[in-house]
Formats: sequence, C-alpha cells, structure tokens
Amino acid sequence: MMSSMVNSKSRFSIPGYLVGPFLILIVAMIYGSLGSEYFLQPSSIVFNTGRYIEIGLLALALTFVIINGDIDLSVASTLAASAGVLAKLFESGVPIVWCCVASVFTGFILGLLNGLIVIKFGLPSLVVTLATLALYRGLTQVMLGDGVVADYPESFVGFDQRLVIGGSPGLPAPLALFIVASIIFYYILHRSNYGLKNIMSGSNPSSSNFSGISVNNVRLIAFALSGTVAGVCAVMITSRLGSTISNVGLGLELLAITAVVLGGTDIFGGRGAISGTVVALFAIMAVREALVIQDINGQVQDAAIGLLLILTVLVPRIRSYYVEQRNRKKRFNESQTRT
Amino acid sequence: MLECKSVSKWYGDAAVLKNVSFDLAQNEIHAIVGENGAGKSTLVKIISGLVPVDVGTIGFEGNDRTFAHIREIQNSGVALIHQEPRLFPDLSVLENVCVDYQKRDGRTRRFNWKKAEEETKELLAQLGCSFSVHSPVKALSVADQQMVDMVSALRKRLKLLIVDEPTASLTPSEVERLFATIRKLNASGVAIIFIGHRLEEVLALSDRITVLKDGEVVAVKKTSETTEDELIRLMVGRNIAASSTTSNSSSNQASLKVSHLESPGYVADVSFEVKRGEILGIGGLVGAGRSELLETIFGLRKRTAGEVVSTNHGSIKSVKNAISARIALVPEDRAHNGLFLNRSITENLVITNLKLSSKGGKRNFGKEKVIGQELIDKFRVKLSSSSQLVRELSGGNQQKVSLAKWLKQEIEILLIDEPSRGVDVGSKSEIHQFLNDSARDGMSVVMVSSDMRELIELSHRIIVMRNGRIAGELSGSAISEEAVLRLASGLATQGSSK
Amino acid sequence: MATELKSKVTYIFKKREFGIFLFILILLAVFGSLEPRFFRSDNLSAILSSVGILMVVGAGQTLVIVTRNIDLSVGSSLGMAAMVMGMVARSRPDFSIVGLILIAMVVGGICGLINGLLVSYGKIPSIIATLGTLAIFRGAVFVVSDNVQIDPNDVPKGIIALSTTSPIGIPWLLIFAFLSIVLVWYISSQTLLGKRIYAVGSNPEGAISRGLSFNKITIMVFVFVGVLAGLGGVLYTARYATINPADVGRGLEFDVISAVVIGGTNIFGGSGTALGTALGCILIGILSNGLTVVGVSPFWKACATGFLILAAVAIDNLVRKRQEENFLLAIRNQRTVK
Repeated sequence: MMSSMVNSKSRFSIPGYLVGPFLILIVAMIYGSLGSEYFLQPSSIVFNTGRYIEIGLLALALTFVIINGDIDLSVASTLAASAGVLAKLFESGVPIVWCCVASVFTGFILGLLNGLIVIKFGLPSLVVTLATLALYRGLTQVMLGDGVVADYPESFVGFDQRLVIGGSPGLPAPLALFIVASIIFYYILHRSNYGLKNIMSGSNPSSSNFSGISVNNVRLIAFALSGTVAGVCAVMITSRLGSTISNVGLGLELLAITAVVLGGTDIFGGRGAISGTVVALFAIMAVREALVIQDINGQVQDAAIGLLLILTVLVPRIRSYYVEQRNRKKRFNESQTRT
Repeated sequence: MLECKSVSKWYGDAAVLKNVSFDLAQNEIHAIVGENGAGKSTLVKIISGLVPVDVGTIGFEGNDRTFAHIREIQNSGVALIHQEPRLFPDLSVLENVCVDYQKRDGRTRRFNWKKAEEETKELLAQLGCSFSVHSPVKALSVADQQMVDMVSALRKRLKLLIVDEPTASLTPSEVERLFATIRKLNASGVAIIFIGHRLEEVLALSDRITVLKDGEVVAVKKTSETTEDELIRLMVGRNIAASSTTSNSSSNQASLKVSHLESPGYVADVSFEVKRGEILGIGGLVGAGRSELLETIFGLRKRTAGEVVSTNHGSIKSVKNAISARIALVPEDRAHNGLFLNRSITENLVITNLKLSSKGGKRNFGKEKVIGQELIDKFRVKLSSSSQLVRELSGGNQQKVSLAKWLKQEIEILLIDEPSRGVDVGSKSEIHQFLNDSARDGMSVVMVSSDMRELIELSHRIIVMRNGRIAGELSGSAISEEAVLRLASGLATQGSSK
Repeated sequence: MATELKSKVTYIFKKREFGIFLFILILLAVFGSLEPRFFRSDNLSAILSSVGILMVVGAGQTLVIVTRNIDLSVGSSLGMAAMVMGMVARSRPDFSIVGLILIAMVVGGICGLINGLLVSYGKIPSIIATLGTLAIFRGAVFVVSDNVQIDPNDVPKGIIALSTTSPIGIPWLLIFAFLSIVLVWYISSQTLLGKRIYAVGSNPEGAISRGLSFNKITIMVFVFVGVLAGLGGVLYTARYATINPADVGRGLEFDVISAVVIGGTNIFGGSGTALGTALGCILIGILSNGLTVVGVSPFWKACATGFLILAAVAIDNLVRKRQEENFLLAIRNQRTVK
C-alpha cells in the first residue's frame, strides 16, 4: 500500500511499491552474476552506468511531472535541442563552458514553454508534449542538419569515465551526479512544501485550488524542471559520445517514463516516490546488463523491460482483486449474522 | 407490485437503512420524503439494482429480485432517473436513447435507425420537448437532459419509474412539464416512485407518501389524509422552532461586506453583510446560486462586478487574498473539492497549514504530525492511524477533516457549504456545537444549508437566494421553515434587499 | 425546402472536418503557386501513397482514442505482422496472396487482443500497457525473425503489386486506405456498436450503469486496430519490399496519433471521426511533400508537424470553450433575469 509514502523511513519495512523493482533488481543481479564472473565486480558495474544515468536524471525530473498529473513526452527532444545549441555555439567558437550553460538554459526555456502552452491554452499535456516532441526535434534537425559536430576539447569529453573518488573501483562522475541528484530530488519531492503541493495537485487539482494552492504554478515549475534537467543531460551525453548529431537521444523518453512507472508512480498522478524511480532505474540497468552478457540483442532487452513493466502493474491488481473477493465474502457472512 | 421486506444496509459502520419495509401498489405514484441522509436515495438505488442489499429481500411482480443483476432489473421494466448522469454528452439525443438497445427477438441484423428516430421523436413530443433528436446532449439544458434520460427509460417496456430529486434545478415551467409527463406515464400504467424535497410538489403529485427518518420508516400515509405540517413533523420529529440563541450580534460590527457581487450565470447583484460572531444562514433551492456565491466571495469564481471587503483586511480579490484575510471555505462536495482522498489524514490537514509546519519551504514532519494530531483531537476525528487514507474514513469524519484543516489558525470568517451532508448524527451535532462555540467567540459564519432544521436552528439571520439573487432576509421571530421555502420558491417576495 | 438545404450547408461549414479541408485547400494553393510541379499527378499520388499506411492504421487508432485509450504499440504490431507474413512468404513462395494478407491481419489481431485483455480485464491504463507491448512486440519481431531481414527477393510479386498495380486506376494501397476509413465511418455512424464505442469514451461510468459491456467493447477496439495494423504491415511490405527487424514500423505510432489528433479526435474520448483522421493524414502528407517540393529543407518537417498538432488542438479547445461558455450563459441568464 502506498499509505506509507510520506514517512517511508519510519518503519524498517519496504513500502509496497518498491517490492517489485527490488525483486527485479536482485533477480537480475543474480542472473547476471551467473552469466559472468565479472558481472558483480564493482569496476564493470560502475563503468557501464554512463548512458543509464542520463535516462535516470530524466526519469527523476519526470517523476515530478507525472506525480503532478501531467506528462512530458518531449524530454528527449528537449535534450536534443539543448545539445544542438551546445554544438552550434561550440562550432562558432564560444568557450565550452558557456556552451554548457546555454544548453542548460535552453532546456529550461523549452520546458517552460511546454508549461506555458499547457496552462495558457488549457490543453492536455499529453498532446502538447507530443507536439513539442516533434517541434523540438525539428529545431534540432534544423540546427544540425545532416552534419556531425565533433572535436570537442579533451577536457570536456569522456565525462562518464571520470572518477570522482579515485582508486579501484572508484566512483564515476555520472554515478556521483546521479546520487547527488537523487538526494536533491528526494528532498524536493518529499521534504519541501513544493513537493507536497506537487503531490496534492496530482491527487486532486480541484481540492488543491480550493485549498489555496496555485496548481498552475506547481505545474509550470515541474515542466521547467524537466526541461532544465534535459538540458543538463544534453551536456552529459555530448561529453560521453564526444559528438553531436541530430537524432541524439532519440527514444529516451520511453525508457525514462518506463522507469518512473516501474518505480510505482501512478501514471495519473497523486502518488509516487523518488526512491521508486531510483530503484527502478537500477533494476532496468541490471536487467539490461545481465542480458547483454548473455549476448541478447538490444531490442529483446527492451522487450524484457516492457514485460517487467506490465507485470509490475498487473501483479498488484491481481492480488487486490483476490483480496477484494475475500472481503466481499467476509462482509456478506458478517451481515448474515447481524439482525 | 414491489415489496421490500426488512431491508438494511450499512456503509462501513454506519447504518443507512434499518429494517425498512416498503411496498408499492400497482399503478400508484408513491413519494418518499425525509431529510438529508434519511436513506431515500439509498433505498431507491437498491430497488433499481445499482447498490446491493445487505439484509432483507426485494420482490418485484412476485419474483425475488434481491440479488438480481442491474441489467436484469432494467430489463424487467425498472428505471431510475437520478442526478448521476447516465447520459453521454458527446452523443446525440437519439444515440443516447438507443445505445442500450437489447435485441429482444432473435435475428435483428441491422439496427433500424429510421424507426428509432420516429419513435424517439414521438416520445419527445409527448413529453413536450422541442429540441431535435440530433442535437448533442451536452448542448441541452439540465431539464432537457432529464427528458432525454426519461425517454431512454421509456423505450423499454417501463413498469416502474423511479425519479430521485428531479426538480432540483428546474424552473417552475420545467417542473410543470415534468409533472405532466409523470402523470401521463402513470395514466398509461407505469408505477412511479418519487423522491422530493419540496413538500407541496409531493402533495400535489403522489397517491401515498412514505416518510423516512434516520434510515427507518416513520410513517406511510395516504396523501389525501396528510398535510405539509404533519409531514414536516414526521420527518423531523418535532416542530422546528427558530434558534433560541439570542443574536447579540446587532451590537457587533460587520466583518465582511459584499456589495453588488456578480458572477456570470450564477450570482447577480448580491449584497449583504456579516457581523462578528454572527451565523448567517443562506437558504434557497438547489440551483439558486448559493454555493457559487461562496465560491465567488472566496475568489475561486470569476467576478464580473461588485466587491468583497473584509473589515480588517481590505478588499478580497483572489483566493490568496481571502486566505490572508483569514477567510476559509469548506466546500459542498468534499470528495471532489475539499479532500485528497488517496492521501493521508495528516497530509490533508497539513496542506493548508504549511506556513506553520515548515521553515523556509522545508517541511518538518514532526511539526506536521503535531498539528495533525492537534486537529484530530480538537475535532474528535475517529481513525485507526494518522497515516490512514482519508477515503477510508466515514462521511462524518471526512467532513471534520475538511473543516479542521482550516482551523489551526485563527479564522475570522468561515464560509461553509452544507456542513452536515452525508454526516452521521453524532458528528453532525459536534459540528453544530463547534459552529455555535466559534460564533460565540467572535467568528463570523456564512452557512449554506439545504437542511432546513440545521439552517433554522443555527442561524441568527437567514438570507434566501433565488435564481442568483437575494430574495429576502429573515431574522428573529420571522424565521420559519415556511418563510424560507416561500422566499426560495418565489411564492413570496420581500422588498429588495440591501 | 430551401431553408432546410441552407441549414444543412451551414451545418457542414461548422464541422471541424470542413476546417481541415479548407486548410488543405489553402496549403495546396500555397504550395502549388510556389511550385507548379506540386500539382503533377505523380506527385499527388506520391502524397497519397505516403499516407496510405498511416490512414489504414489511423482509422483503427481513431476508435481506440475515442474510447479514452491509446495504442502506442501499433508500429510494433505492424512490424510483427509484416515479419511473420514475410517469413511465411519466404519459406513458401507459392503461398496465396490472400492467405498472406490474412496471416498478417491475424497476427496483428492477436497483438491487439493482448492489448485489449491487459487494458480491460487487467485494468492496466492503456498508456502503460501499450508502452510495454510496444517493446515486447518489437522484441518478438527480433526473436521470430532471428534478426534476419526480409529481402525484396523473398517478397512475392503479388504483394509488391499491391502498391504498384491499379485495378481501377487507383493503386491497391489507396483502395485499402479508403476502405479502412469507410469501414470506420460506417461503424461509427451507422451501427449501434459504433455508438456504444463512443458512449464508453464519453462517459465510462454511465456506460457501465447503462449495462453496456465495457470490457468487450474495449477488447474489440484494440483487436480492430491490431488487425488494421496487420493490414498496414502488408502494405508496408508492398511499398518498401524490405522488412528489417529493427526498423519496421518504428515511430509509426507517433505519426498515427498525430494524424488522429489533428483530425479532431478528442484525446479524452467520446468524439472523433474517420474522415477527420483521413484528412489529418492527408494534411500531414501534403505538408511534408509540399515542403520538399518547394525546396524547404526536410529538416523543417518535424517542426511543421509539431506546430500543426498544437494549432489543431488549440483551435479545437478555443472553439469548444466558446461554445460551452455561450451555452451556459444563455441558460443561466434565462434564470437570473426573472
């Protein structure tokens, strides 16, 4: 049950929504280690995390948007457009640092734009972000065309290989960033006033308005946050790949959304947790890496994730169906004994 | 024709129907009256199969229908028309009517739209409706939609028609049309069960009347043998007298002044004052604009003219203003507007008190728990744990939460809409006690209520709304249920209010 | 008689589909005047061919969205159907064309059935269920085909002929597209089942309390779009002659949903027409083709599509809001006057 979401640290028990992802994580780790003795070695775990962290960051920001009752399909396109801005500025000689700042800023603006369109026009976020998914990708294509931007400075490239804490295995920079980001997002969602307003807006927008919460502001902030994080991920992905082309990040939004839903967040809003998204991300990572070791193709890996997604939602429903049947029988028997 | 024996129903721990026996003779128009929460809607929902019985039996035309499926009941000629919409806004009238057509005889391959259209047109004409069968239902008025609902029930061989509070948002001419329809149906052999609040309507229409009170049958009377006064006495248990609490508020100053307030379509040129320590009741029929008035004052609804001024805090223009001016609104529909059903009680209580429980935007769980517990204790909310979800609470306790969340901080003006709707007797009296005590301590209360007894007992003064305007004001000895009803339905008018 | 005709005509003008039609005419005029080559018959037929597959699948997706659901897996279902059909054709070169088409449609239907069961009895929100099956079906394509693509040689001439030959002057591709749209039009406007589908989307609780078989209807629409996706798979094979396990049908769902939304179907269910979807497809096709012919860089296509979706939904919303306001005001003012 989700009722312990607020004080999930008060008892030493795993909240219901985490059981699924944890189970998947553990099973995947066992499976992976059976397949290769190197699987559980810290060095191989940590060095493969680079590309998952980008998805993870997007998923963290998306958690806010989804809990609050919206959805943002355009995160990957926002990432691409931000990366495009970064690349174009770099190409025209701007120092790399400022290009990165511009990338983050672009993400912020594009996210804000999503929010403004949704709110000012009163349109469903599904459709608006479907449109901006195309629009922002289009902007990227216009900026970059067929070309490739490479030749990034040595100091910039290879972020995912940097170690924050040296030694073996050390702590790679992306993982460190993700840990820090998770903590920050945890605080925002579960320990700040904004976070509570966000959750309540998703739970019941009307009651929120009646309670004096400005639901529109809450939503706007969530969209802006989502865009900004996409801008940050653009920097990361450019550093990791060392080059930029127009279809950068294509399809990432689906994996990000999968991570959020797998982590127990209700797609309709009002319920969710950062911890869920984090565990779900690691679970996805473990599953994919375990399958890679078995030489299983990427498409099939995705299929496995899809199957797990469906099971994670399906199994609790089957359980509650049987519980409801049992309760109904109980209530009927009880009523027979009343006057 | 219909016989309910010893029917009982519980929602959780609260008994909504206790050992109710109800019978319907062939071809009669039988009215069910009772106060809010007496169990009328529940009874008819059970009869029509929408809600299952806990204890008791239901027999229809000699067959046992206690556990029948809703489709079975519908097919045997029972139809229920009530507020919850059974219509599809995007579909046309014709489509709405035909959508649940069941093939009665073997092979009817293609649905004959032409025939259906003719039949529907005829039925609509019989009911005095002039709109086209092709208009989308969402473009129709509530009264017209009701007619469509009725036509869709009529297309099946109707034996028993149940109408629950049909006249709530109708104009008098629409009511006339509805009654004519009901009489015509009855004349053609359909039995009618009619739930109504307006006693003169009930007396005009029915053959027999069953009075429910607190889930029990109090009396079953032949309409020709009873009067409105007797019905009121049976419904309420005693004669309603005006509140005996002397209103000492005449010497108090005003805490809120509303002038010429207007919200398009719902509120027109409303002006009134509330004094410190006064409980101002707002009466009127459903659709008079009472809830909308409160929402407009609170800043939730667009205001196109007029002013709301708090004596201590100045002009109120938005919800933010209202809250800073120490005004609170407890809405009528707590499930949709007042509470967050899938969240915990503590979260529901804390959401309006974040300034107190947090520092610099950072929440303090300890303080939140303290505030929550304080409010729970103060209002005696019965729960199993503070992290329990609000939807698991009973109606009365939910209402307490909806109210309590505003009351951690000093409130000067409390706007409360239907304080005891769906609330058990115990919680109701606790809420009333609270309102009286708060008024005594200086809080101004503006209370909308359809519960006449509540309205009259609690209010120092009553203003009655009709069609978005104030129809009149009652105070002191002038307060009586009859006076309120007469103003509310336009049978009496007063000289224009302030 | 004349007034009746006049009111019928004004009624048409007010319809959403007419607005799209008008916009299409405007685009045609604009593109045509900028570049007369645009109007050449081979160009115009290229436009229709490019959106033929979109129309077939879009017809089915329209009904899905009308029921307040969404099917993100259509591209993968199409791929699955095409691949299975291709493999059968490759191993049995003389398999009948009609048989192959049926196989594809059955495979698509099975994919749809899975979706339908998950959403109705499994009570999984369709956005999540089809997000999952999008991946699952795509993985299935890979496994089933053993990552071997279907080459043009393996595709029977008869199938390829579907995109090239024109039995009555119109390519089979277009005939199928047209038939799909007509079928959905027929279902939604002439049959009771169609009305029930719209009812379910317009008021799900009301549908249940009126005794409509909610689950059956939901499963039906998903199976239907699956079958059409299967047909789309056949047409895809006919057009591209290559079925690559990684690429086939990828990204189709985005285009299909865009076309449906642009065509005026409400994402919240209850309203939407096959004609609208068809016009939406044509609009997308014209825009894409026109931009190319006129010489605009192809990279602006995505932007244009995005703008189109925003414009379409924003206009829909403004019109709807204005209608509601006017109506409420009229009713309410009637009362407050007395």
